[in-house]
Amino acid sequence: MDAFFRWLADWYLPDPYLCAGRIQGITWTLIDVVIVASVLRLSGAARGRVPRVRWALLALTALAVPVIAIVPGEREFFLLEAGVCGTQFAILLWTVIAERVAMAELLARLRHRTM
Amino acid sequence: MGLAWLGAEMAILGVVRWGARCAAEVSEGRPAPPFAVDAFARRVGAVFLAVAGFMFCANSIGDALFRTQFGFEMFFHLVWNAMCAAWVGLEGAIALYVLEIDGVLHGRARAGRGRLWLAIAWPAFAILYNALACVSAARQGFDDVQLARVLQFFLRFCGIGWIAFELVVARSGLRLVRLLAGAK
Repeated sequence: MDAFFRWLADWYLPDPYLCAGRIQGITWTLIDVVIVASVLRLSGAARGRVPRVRWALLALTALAVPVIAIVPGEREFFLLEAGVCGTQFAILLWTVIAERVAMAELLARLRHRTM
Repeated sequence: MGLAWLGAEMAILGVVRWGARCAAEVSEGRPAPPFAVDAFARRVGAVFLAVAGFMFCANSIGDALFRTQFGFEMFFHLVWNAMCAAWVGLEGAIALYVLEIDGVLHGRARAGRGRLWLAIAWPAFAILYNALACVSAARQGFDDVQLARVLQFFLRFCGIGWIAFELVVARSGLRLVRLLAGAK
């Protein structure tokens, strides 16, 4: 175990750290876009109208994904990720809390159709 | 900011868990239960307070247990690692409840063993990695920069766990959208 930690201490420099962070950051941000889009689609169907502001905010976060790959330093990377994921979180939170009842009713209707 | 994200994850977990209960009740022909702060929500709140408390005294705990001289560097990374480990645990719990909803909607029962595995294995791994890293760093005489690298590597494990759980949620989300399209 000591050898592993020694290897990490000598090898895990800022460059590999940032590179691995970028790859993981881009991956989870893209998956988040899919998750939030699914929830917004569900919300739209539950309310009977499209939540345009939230879709626009989600589109903005999707546009920021390529920037994650080229943003220069560790601090800038963290701030951009915080902004993008924070916005996606806010959309998700807003939707699942404000429209929980309408969405639960829609799920119940879907369940009755699949039974 | 980290605590705000943790709170947001807990709120989402609360709503998703309620959604899973609704789906289960409705599938058995009963009305959906009202949204309320129940015993589970209180337990989640207690865990949140415990994590926040740990963050505030991580430095003293680390120094007392491992008798190291790393000070603030160790405190900062242990706090951040604890926060990230908590996010991943919560995301895992959300993924399990989403799977439950997905199972009800598609007429399949899901076993609850995943929740137990997640509740034991992930925190155990997180504590073990960070404790071993601190002990090993002290034994081998690492400086602050080397300790930081070893502790930062834990975030990669968190990233893998986070991506895996998000993939589960995204897959269920897409299945739900397909179900919605088919129902029209």
